[in-house]
Parts: sequence; structure tokens; C-alpha cells
Amino acid sequence: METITLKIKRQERPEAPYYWEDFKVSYTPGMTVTALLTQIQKKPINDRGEATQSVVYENGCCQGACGACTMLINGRPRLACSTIADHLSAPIVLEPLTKFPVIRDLVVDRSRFFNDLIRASSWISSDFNNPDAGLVIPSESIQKSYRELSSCTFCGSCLEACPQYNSRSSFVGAAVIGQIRLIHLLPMGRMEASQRLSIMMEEGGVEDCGHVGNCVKACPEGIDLRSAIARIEREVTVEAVRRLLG
Amino acid sequence: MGEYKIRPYIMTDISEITTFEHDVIIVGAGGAGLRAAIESCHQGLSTGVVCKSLLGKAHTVMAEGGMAAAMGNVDARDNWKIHFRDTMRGGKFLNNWRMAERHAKEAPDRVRELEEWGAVFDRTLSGLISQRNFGGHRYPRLAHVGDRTGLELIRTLQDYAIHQGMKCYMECTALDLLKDGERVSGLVGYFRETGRFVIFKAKAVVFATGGAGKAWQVTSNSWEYTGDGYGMAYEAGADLMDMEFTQFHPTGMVWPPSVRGILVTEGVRGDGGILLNNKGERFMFGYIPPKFAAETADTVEEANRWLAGDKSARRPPELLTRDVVARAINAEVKGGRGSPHGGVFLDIASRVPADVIKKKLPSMYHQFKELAELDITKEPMEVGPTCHYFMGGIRVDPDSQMSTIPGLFACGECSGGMHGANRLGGNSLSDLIVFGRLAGLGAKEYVRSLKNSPRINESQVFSIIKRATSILNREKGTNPYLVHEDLQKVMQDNVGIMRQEEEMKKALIELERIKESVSQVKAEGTSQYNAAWHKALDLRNLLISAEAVTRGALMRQESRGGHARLDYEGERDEWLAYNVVSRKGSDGKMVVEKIKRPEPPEELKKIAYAKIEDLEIGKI
Ligand SMILES: Cc1cc2nc3c(=O)[nH]c(=O)nc-3n(C[C@H](O)[C@H](O)[C@H](O)COP(=O)(O)OP(=O)(O)OC[C@H]3O[C@@H](n4cnc5c(N)ncnc54)[C@H](O)[C@@H]3O)c2cc1C
Ligand code: SF4
Ligand code: FES
Repeated sequence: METITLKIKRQERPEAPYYWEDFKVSYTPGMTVTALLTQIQKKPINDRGEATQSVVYENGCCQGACGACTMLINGRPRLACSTIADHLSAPIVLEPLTKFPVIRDLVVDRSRFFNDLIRASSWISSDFNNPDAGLVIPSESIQKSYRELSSCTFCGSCLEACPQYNSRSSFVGAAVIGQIRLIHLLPMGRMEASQRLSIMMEEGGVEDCGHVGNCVKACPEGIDLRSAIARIEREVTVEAVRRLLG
Repeated sequence: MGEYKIRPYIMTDISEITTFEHDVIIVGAGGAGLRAAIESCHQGLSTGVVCKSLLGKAHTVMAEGGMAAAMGNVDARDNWKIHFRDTMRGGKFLNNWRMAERHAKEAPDRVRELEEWGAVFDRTLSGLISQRNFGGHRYPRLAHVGDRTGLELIRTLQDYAIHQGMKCYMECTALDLLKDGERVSGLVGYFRETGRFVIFKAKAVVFATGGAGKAWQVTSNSWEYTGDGYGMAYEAGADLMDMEFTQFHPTGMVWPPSVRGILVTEGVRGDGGILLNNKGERFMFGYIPPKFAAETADTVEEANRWLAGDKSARRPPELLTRDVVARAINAEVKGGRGSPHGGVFLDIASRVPADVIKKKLPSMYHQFKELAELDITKEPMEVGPTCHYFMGGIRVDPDSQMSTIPGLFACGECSGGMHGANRLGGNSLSDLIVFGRLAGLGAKEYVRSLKNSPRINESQVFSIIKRATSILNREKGTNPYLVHEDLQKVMQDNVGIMRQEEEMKKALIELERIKESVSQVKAEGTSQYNAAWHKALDLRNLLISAEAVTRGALMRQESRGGHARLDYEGERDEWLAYNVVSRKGSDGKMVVEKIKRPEPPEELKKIAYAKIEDLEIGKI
């Protein structure tokens, strides 16, 4: 049976220093990175033949739907469950996402992402039986944009790829702006638009975007984040003018 | 809005265990758990949700095809009675009548309500919520969002639940229930990251923990599906019901090996895909059960007319219920007519234009492109049965969703009754939102009726923690991964699609042996994010689930829906009168018994057994 080498950046605890460890795992064509990691879990022995702690990683649906398994694979943020080893150059280098604090090995703490989603109120808060929130018949083009933006799995790849998103800035990042755009496509989302746009005007809001466009390239769902950001920028401008005029 | 912390606290003292207190604790943040949480919040109860993965990553996100609700948007002849009839027929009339009735009646409102909360389903040309065809459903009935319905459902519910004030404890695994006398008083869990134990004190607990497909080798289920709800409820003394009914979905991926079992949505067949054996034969025409013959096309020509939209044509046999299709595929493969990797062919490429496939089934297109390097718009897929869904589960009251333990509620896949012997595709997502809501309401009624708050019993807490830590503390022992593989092989080989007494008896002996290994399981290292420890802790629940399935399957001497026996072929009328229930006996061993089902109300019986034409014209 063939083997393949995985080079993994490891860290035992949040404050601990990192180190690299190599593993030789048996491999058959068509195996995903997640499948290779499962092999290490079953038999945590490194390439020097020493028993070691099993490697910890996030995993969910295993079918590219949940966005749990994002990590750096040969330097790029990718979904481990949907990345086949066949086309990767060996050794395969696996690292945790760099924009979030490491919890252990390949697992990171994504609290910031959740908190930003809540802070930006990109989650709807319409009331039960709100008379204005009833059924809407969206146009074909709104449906299309909606469909695209709603395919976000919150995998965090766009944040990883963004130079503006880091521990020194409070930029909310492309995914959150995409979600705001998504909600503003709907009438009941627009009812609270002003509140959301206020947050987009603050530090960390849409104006922190540097228009580098890495997010678009990184997104496994192919979401056009660039135009979502442009739309929210325009909404912010209109809102600012509106407020100026009182 | 409170801060959400995935890493809640830094432990300062080993003996210090944090307690969180809520009126209602819900275990599980899938569709059922979130819907229950919304209802509970809305009823003014303090509500906490505990889930072992991150918010938004629950199993429900994987759901593809859609949710069934008789809205009649695509075919106006549809109504709740026909949905009810389809559900009962699909479940081989073993469904809990009241649950199937409420489900069919309430699903349309629950779907519409989702749109109020921000979901947007695919549309018909006239702007209504579009509905697609699925196996066993008489009319196009599944509201859907491409083939990503679960993602939309989860996002909508979680956004709304957070704004309703739900407090969420993520990456926290529940270990066992706490009781004050007979009633529930909370539970003990641990945070996966730190390994720290935590007590949740609550007046009512709702389980929405999903199924236990991970007890088989080939499954569409994720790592979360280890039957924790079944295990915890069983240990606390609750009844499990209908556990022998496990659904093998006919179409899972079979190649490459590392993705074997991953689901290929029924939507592929609903949208026109056909099944072929290695001779190129559309073999499903040879497997139409007599009960369905009157409503199924018996020629290729008629089936093709149906696809073209001819409303007088009957449905193609590929859309028969899942149990039938899975057994047919199994028989083709066993008969030497399978595909190269042990499945059969599923062809949509030659039936539907490439751009339509990409639009209607985008994630299937990507799934095969990425995982199998196959273009489904050009070539047929290879598919075979995969363990998919538990029809059985915690026995509940059909209206309040309360289990046999006061204060313990269950909804979603972890509860039993609604789907009888076989679930129709699309009936799960609708089940989640209908019964999630009812569980929330049931919990409110119960909490309001309490005269005093249940108390936490410290010795129970201590013994739960001791069980968990012994896995780390023992000097040496069995490897949790190997024990799990062992269990999966036993179930795959002996309690699969086709069952017989000898094999199941063998499985029970093997399960006894595995019980021994589970009691000796050892995880190296500390409790700090230790995957081997997490795995080891899941084993007890997997084992309880596997044993309940096997014992139930052995007892039920007939073939019905998801339970098929080589030694007792066909449905036996005498068995229609019973459910099989399992619970923990006073000696600690599993007891299984037949319990008599209540007689159905006349009116429902009339609908379930009605001629379809009579329902369509509103005669019944
Ligand atoms: C690939 C796939 C596709 C499907 N497609 C469809 C479809 O198109 N239509 C349809 O109707 N049905 C479909 N189903 C079935 C349906 O998705 C599931 O039955 C349903 O989502 C189950 O939802 P739930 O709310 O009961 O549980 P889940 O969504 O599975 O959630 C379980 C929750 O419980 C938590 N949990 C479990 N144990 C513990 C514990 N010990 N401590 C803390 N938390 C715990 C988990 O973290 C999770 O949050 C599909 C299933 C699969 C696998
Ligand atoms: S926008 Fe794309 S890259 Fe960003 S979180 Fe969503 S799916 Fe991932
Ligand atoms: S595990 Fe869900 S996207 Fe990879």
C-alpha cells in the first residue's frame, strides 16, 4: 500500500508553543485530507515510529456543507473533507487557520466570527406574526443573489485570506458583510437596515475593506463577496446622506 | 446580546464545577432543538441549548432534498389528508396516528413561518414556494432551497433563536441526566475544549440529539450520530420504541472508499434520475410491491410521460419508498448485476440537460466533481444503500412530546413514533419544526405545573464524572477507535438491510463481548481537547443503540418497512398491533417487550385506507 506524508503544525494548548510533526499514513487514491487525519487518530504514531498524542481537528458533515473543517492545506484555506490528496504536492502541510486563536492542533476558536455576526445584527429579529414580515415574492434576480449569498457555510476561508482581518483590527470581514447584504435583500431585513448600517459605519465596518479581493478567490462556495461589499458600501453612503439631511 | 464564547472559562480549581441554571435545557442545535428553543423562549422561559458541535454545524445542515408540507402550490390536488395517507402508507401503518396527523396538518404553517423569519425557498413561476417530487409522496410536496435545504433551515432558525434570547453552550457534550426522584432535574456534560465538567440545572430537559447511524460502517451520518439521546434516556429509565426500524437510504456514494456512504439525495431521482444495473436495465420495474402497483408506472413509456409532466401518468418505480428501492439495489448487487464498485448506476446525465442539473442539484454536482472526479452531467453515478435514519427512538406522548420520564422531552430524529416502519424523504425536516415546537410547548406546560424546583443530587453528579474520568485514569485498556470499528463491523455484517435470526443472535453475543471492551476503554493524555476520550465516551451510547436495534429486530418476526427479515418475509397482520419497546431492567440488563398499540380514531383510519381518488375530489 502507498503511503503519504503529512506535515502537521501542532500545539498542545492555547498558550503553548507550536511544533511540527510528520506522519506517514497509508493512502489510496481518492482519499480526502479528513480521511488521512482519521488514520492518524486511529493510530497516532509519527514518522519516527514514536507514539504521540492523536492530532485534533474539526470535522462535521464530511460533505462540504457545514464549514467546520477549514484549515490551511499547503498554505491555502480549504475544506479538509472536500480536498482530495491526489492533486496535492507532498508532503501535505496542514496548519490551523492563522486568524483565530489556536485551541489545540488544527482546532481554532472562532468566537470572534460568531460575535461579529451578532454584533452586526446580521441575524433577523422580526417578531412573531409581524404583519409586515409576511410572505414576499422575490424577483428572479433577488432570488439568484439570495441563493448565492445564502450558500455561505461560515467556513471562515474568506477571513483567513483577507489582509485586513487580523488581531490588530476589528474588521468584521467579508462573510459578515455578505450576510448583511443577504438580509437586506428581504423586506423584513430592510426594516432594521438602519441599525445594521450604523454598525457598518463604525470602526471594523465595511469601510475597513481594502478591496484586495482575496475573499472571492478563497470562498469554496464561489460567492461574489466583492459585489456584496460594494452594495453595502453604497447603502452606507446613502444612509449617511439621508442622516445628514435629517 | 450576550457574548458568545466557544471557550467559556479557564479552570482554576479541579473540584470546582460550574452550574448553569435554566427553566429548560435543550440538548441539540439541529432543526428540532432550535425550533424547540424558539418556542421555549417565546413562552417566556429561560432557555439554554447545549450542543456538541459548533452552532450551525449540526447534522441538519446536511439535509439536501427539502421538507414535506402539503401546501398544494405545484399540484393543487394536494392536501393534508393525502400527505397523512402517504406518510401512513410509507410507514406501513405502524406510525403513531396522532403524530402523523399533526405533522401533516401543521407542516404548511411551520414552513410559511420560516419565511417570516428570513428563509427563502425556491419559487414556482408564479412566485409561490416551489415543491419537488420525492419518493412515496403522491404530489410534488418538498419545499426546498436547491439541494441545500438544511443549511437554510439551520441558519434561519439559529438567527431567530438567538434574537429570541436562547443561550447557547457550544462544543459541550451532555453525558447523563440528573433526576430528583422520578423527575428530571438537569444533566452533567463537559466542554470538549477544556474537558471541564459542567452541571445544567433545569426544570425540563428536551432531547433533540438525532440518531445513531455511526453504529454501522456505511452510513450517511456524521460523527455526531452516536445515539447519545438514546443512551442517556435509556440509562435514566425511559422507554425506547421501534428501534428495529433503521432506514437504509438507497443511494449513498460507493466510490472512492474514503467517502463511501455519503448521501446522494433522492432529489436526483425526483428530478428524473433513473437506476440501472450493469446490463443497462431499468431494474426497478421488477420490484414494484403489489400494494403500490396501482399507483406506479409499469412501463418506461408511462414513467417518461410522468417526467414530462403528464398528470395522468403514474410515478416511476424509482420513486417507490426507500425500503423498497434499497432492497432492490441490494438484490441486484447480490445477483451479480452490480456496478464495478458494488453498487448500481444512477443516471441523470442522459435524462436532464446539463445546465438544469447544475441549477437544481448544485451540491450533488460539486460533491461528485470534488470527491469522485466524476461529472454527473456527463456520466452516471455509482450508488448503493447507506445507513441513514432511525425511525425509532425515545417513546413520547404525541401531543406534549414528553417521554416516560416526567420532565424529559424528545423531538426530531431521536424521538420515535411519527414515521412508523419507514420514513418518507422530506418528512424529517418537517417533523423537526412541527414537533420541535410541540416539545417547547410541552415543556412550558410541564414547567408551569411544577410546585417546586427539582434539586440536584450530588452523588449522581459524582458517579457520572467518575465514569468519564475512569477512561483517562486507567493504566491501560482497549483503544476506543478499534472498539468502535469492531462494533460497526458487527452491525454491518449481522444487522443490515436483510436480517435473520442466526446472525442477530450472533450479533448479541458479539455485543456482549464489545460491552466488555467498552468497560475497559482507555484514552491516553489529559481531558484537554482529547478526541480519543470523546470517542470513548460515545461508545456506551452507540452500544445501547445497537443492542436496542438488534433485540427489537430479533423480536419482530416479520418484514415491515426498514426492518426486513429473510426468515420472516412479508408483513404479518398480527404484528401491526404492536410496537416493540426496550428499557433498562431492574437487573441492569435490557428488557424488550411488545406493547399493544392504541386503536386509531375511525376518521383517521378512513383517510389512511381511502382510495386516492376519493381524497382528491374531497369525498373524504
Ligand atoms: C445527508 C443527509 C441528508 C438528508 N436530507 C434530508 C432531506 O432532504 N429531507 C429530510 O426531511 N430529511 C433529510 N435528512 C434527515 C434529516 O436531516 C435528519 O433526520 C434531521 O436533520 C435530524 O435533525 P435533529 O434536529 O433531530 O438532529 P440534528 O440536526 O442531527 O442535531 C443533533 C444535535 O444534537 C447534538 N448532540 C447530539 N448528542 C449530543 C450530546 N451528547 N451532547 C450535546 N449535544 C449533542 C448535536 O451536536 C446536534 O446539535 C437527511 C439526513 C442526512 C444525513
Ligand atoms: S463567504 Fe465563503 S469563504 Fe466566507 S465564510 Fe462564507 S462560505 Fe466561507
Ligand atoms: S466537514 Fe462539513 S464542510 Fe467539511
